[in-house]
Amino acid sequence: MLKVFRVLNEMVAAKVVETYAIGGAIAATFYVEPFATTDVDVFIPVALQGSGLVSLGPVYEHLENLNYHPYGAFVSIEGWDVQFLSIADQLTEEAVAEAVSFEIGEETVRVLKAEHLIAIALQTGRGKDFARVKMFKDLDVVDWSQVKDLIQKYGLEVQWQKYRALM
Amino acid sequence: MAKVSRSNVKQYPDISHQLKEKDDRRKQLAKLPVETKLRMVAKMRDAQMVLHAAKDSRKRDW
Repeated sequence: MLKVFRVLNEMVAAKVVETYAIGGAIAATFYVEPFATTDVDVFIPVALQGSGLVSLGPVYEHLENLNYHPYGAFVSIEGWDVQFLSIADQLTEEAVAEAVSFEIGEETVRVLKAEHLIAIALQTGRGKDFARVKMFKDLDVVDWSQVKDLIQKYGLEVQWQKYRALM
Repeated sequence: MAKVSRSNVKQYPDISHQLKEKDDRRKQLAKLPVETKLRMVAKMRDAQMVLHAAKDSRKRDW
């Protein structure tokens, strides 16, 4: 995992991406108990192309040069399935901007805040996302007033009610 | 209609103690250093990969 963080930091140093932040299950592990996952979600800001589409081309090209090859939605980096996700809306934009830095060994890694992870999980709304929100709730490792603000700010009330009904 | 009485209601064992132990264990794991937790995630991933490889080879054997 440290090697993945190193590759990401090198991408920032080489100006392939402006910044990044880890999300998903790996980010959750920073706050709750460890659990099984095989993929690493990485949010990156990607500029719109002339066609109006986002392109991860430069990222994939940089990684190909390092012998890390894409397959499906992932790039295999040091045995991990890394998925690069472009910032899709204001919630993820805010989440990446406010990501926190952790020192892990010799690497510094940017990770989404727990409150943003919960908001994004609610927005995504799959069973496993709701289960992850429950992990945060059980362990009480978040500022729930901040989560409530995010729910209100990004119109996630319906998703919150769905979560409450299921969990 | 069958009468419901204490004698014919199935008694389930009280597992509240085990649940509390499990909850305490989760809290302990959550407090581990992040580096340790990430190593544990990597080990779980390795175990999953071994399982998948075993399943694949079994499929091939058939």
